[in-house]
Amino acid sequence: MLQASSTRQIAVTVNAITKIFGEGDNSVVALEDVNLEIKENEFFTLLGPSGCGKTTLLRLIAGFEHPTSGNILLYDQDITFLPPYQRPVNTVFQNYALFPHMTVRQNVSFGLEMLGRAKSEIKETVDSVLNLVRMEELANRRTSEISGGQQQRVALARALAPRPKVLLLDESLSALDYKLRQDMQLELKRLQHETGITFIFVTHDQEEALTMSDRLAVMDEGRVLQVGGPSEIYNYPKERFVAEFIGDSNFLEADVTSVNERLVRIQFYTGKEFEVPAFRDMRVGAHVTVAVRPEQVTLSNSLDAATFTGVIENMVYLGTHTHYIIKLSNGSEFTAHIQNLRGHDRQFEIGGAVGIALDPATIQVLKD
Amino acid sequence: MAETENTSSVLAAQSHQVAIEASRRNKIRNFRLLSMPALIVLTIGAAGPLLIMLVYSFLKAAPYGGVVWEPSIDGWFGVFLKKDIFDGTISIATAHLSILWRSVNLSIQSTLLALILGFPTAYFIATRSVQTRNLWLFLITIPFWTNLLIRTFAIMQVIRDQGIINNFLIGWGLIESPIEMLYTDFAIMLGMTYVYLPLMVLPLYASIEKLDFRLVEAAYDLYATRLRVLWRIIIPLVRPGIVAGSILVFVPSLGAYVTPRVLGGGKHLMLGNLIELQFGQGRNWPLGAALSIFLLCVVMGALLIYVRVAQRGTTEHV
Ligand SMILES: Nc1ncnc2c1ncn2[C@@H]1O[C@H](COP(=O)(O)OP(=O)(O)OP(=O)(O)O)[C@@H](O)[C@H]1O
Ligand SMILES: [Mg+2]
Repeated sequence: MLQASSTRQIAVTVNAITKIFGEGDNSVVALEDVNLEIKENEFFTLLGPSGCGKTTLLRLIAGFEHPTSGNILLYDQDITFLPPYQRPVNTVFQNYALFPHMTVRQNVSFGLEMLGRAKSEIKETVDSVLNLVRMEELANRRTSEISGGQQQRVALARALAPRPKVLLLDESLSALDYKLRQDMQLELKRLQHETGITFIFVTHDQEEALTMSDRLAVMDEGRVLQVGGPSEIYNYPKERFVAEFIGDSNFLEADVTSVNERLVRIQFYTGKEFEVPAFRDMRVGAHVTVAVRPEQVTLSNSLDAATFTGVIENMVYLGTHTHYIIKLSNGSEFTAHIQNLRGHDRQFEIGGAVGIALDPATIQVLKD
Repeated sequence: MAETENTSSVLAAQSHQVAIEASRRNKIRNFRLLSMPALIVLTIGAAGPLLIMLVYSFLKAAPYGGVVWEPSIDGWFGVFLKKDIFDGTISIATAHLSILWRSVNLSIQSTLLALILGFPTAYFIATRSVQTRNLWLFLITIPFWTNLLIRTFAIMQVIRDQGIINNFLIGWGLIESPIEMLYTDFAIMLGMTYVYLPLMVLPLYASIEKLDFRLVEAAYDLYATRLRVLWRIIIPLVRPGIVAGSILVFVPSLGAYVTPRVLGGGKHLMLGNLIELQFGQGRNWPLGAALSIFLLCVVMGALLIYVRVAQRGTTEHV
């Protein structure tokens, strides 16, 4: 599986792209030296908070904007300055942007008509695409006469009909309600599978990004911070921002006490030491921040063996889990999510002392 | 039990709704009382004169203007037919028909020209930043502040034989003798276009400004070139503005009086001038009144056809 994906061709190359809007004092750096390689038939997600430049990157790939510097390749062709209508790339817009003066069928046919395809071929393709998104019954409705979820599907069909090499989706699911959204998530994955098209999907919803993507890029303030598969991003966040944005994390300070080739020893304020993999140059005496996921710790009543000790400030019972907020002995807060097992509840009390044990494998050293 | 309770509560809610509706209607009826002054003004100012015209068109002409209160269809007869003074033979009033034709023709031409000039202008304004838009709109409306006659004379200065255009062309040696533009149908058409252009630009601007430019992007994305985006997306979506602007230019053009009078030099009459002639020198008020009503019918007929055609485009499903 890994083998197959690594030998896949690269569909889109984003090469050192910088995009600056405006000039002089009120200029905005929307993207800064962004580099990405998106593989053929990959479900690739751009994830990041509002204003981080996701839409801008998508618009550059679609051709609605031109970069200040850098270039974009589609397979081997430089498309940086091609107009949108010359790129085999289609977009599903956030607001759908369906043509209100046309029926569903006319909307879906539009791209093929503009490409000058034969009438019979258009009809055939449109029928099959409408079938793909399960909209054939409403083909002759006007776009104002269908529901939001249906409009979403028409927008998808319209973008898929010309068989683009790359499909761009800008927060395409965010306007839908929870149930519909989950249906559409499955549907998108199915479509990607059936069509073999490369999907570049934009979202600020980390859960959506983790469940849908083959790989994702986490962005912040115009930069790509980390690219990787969902579990890689979740388990090995390189930066504090990534660890914070995706899932919950505890951040702890530690000092480097010894360094050898592959491993470094770090020491927490409690004096406990751990050996963790070194991913960058670290000197003895350096100060590092590490991230620990709340669900990857264990709590116990035995305080001596614990890495940290603290007092339970609050606990929230959530059925499968209980969330504990613990005040550590150095005054900082620590969150632990502990799975509930029958017969083991009521083990800890608010106000009670508790020991937190870490597994070295769960400690992620962050870039500072 | 629970069900009947439910239905009765639904019924109660419904009757409550009905009561609210009724009281709202009462309120609206009271508002109608407030609208009486407007209705009175409309009756006196618009319907009244029309009625008088209609009545006059069926009366006999008095020798020195005015009407004699005797029913007659001479006025209407004169619109379409004419009687030879000497031998009394009846023939079709070709002069009137050619004036009608010229009026309709020139009005259509100036409407088209105004559309061709007005569309890019409105598009340009609508795509500026919000602050500069207001400046451009202001500039568009400035001509309205100037007297129509003065504006028409200004056009005259531009197109007459020793006018700006001819002087310029002769000065550059492009032509030898001046192109005759003043006192032609072209002059009338140009003048009307100039005078009524803002009436085309403003509704077009209102439509284009409301246009969702994301749709334009979507069309670009779907392989439509610029020209195709214009034809397939922009024009259909701003059609209401095109319809409104065209009506606003066509209607006053058809009844224009000052512009054809000044720029046509009295040789090239339009319906407005013909009507004026009947009430003035012609001293044939019934004919003038009949021509006015006729003009009204032409306008309404033209609008009906136009709106039909324009609507057909928007509702067609292929
Ligand atoms: N046309 C523009 N002119 C000036 N600044 C712009 C323009 N478009 C985007 N920006 C700026 O560039 C930055 C990135 O914007 P972008 O729309 O790409 O963010 P985003 O990640 O899509 O955010 P969101 O999740 O809110 O959609 C923002 O600071 C934004 O203000
Ligand atoms: Mg965005």
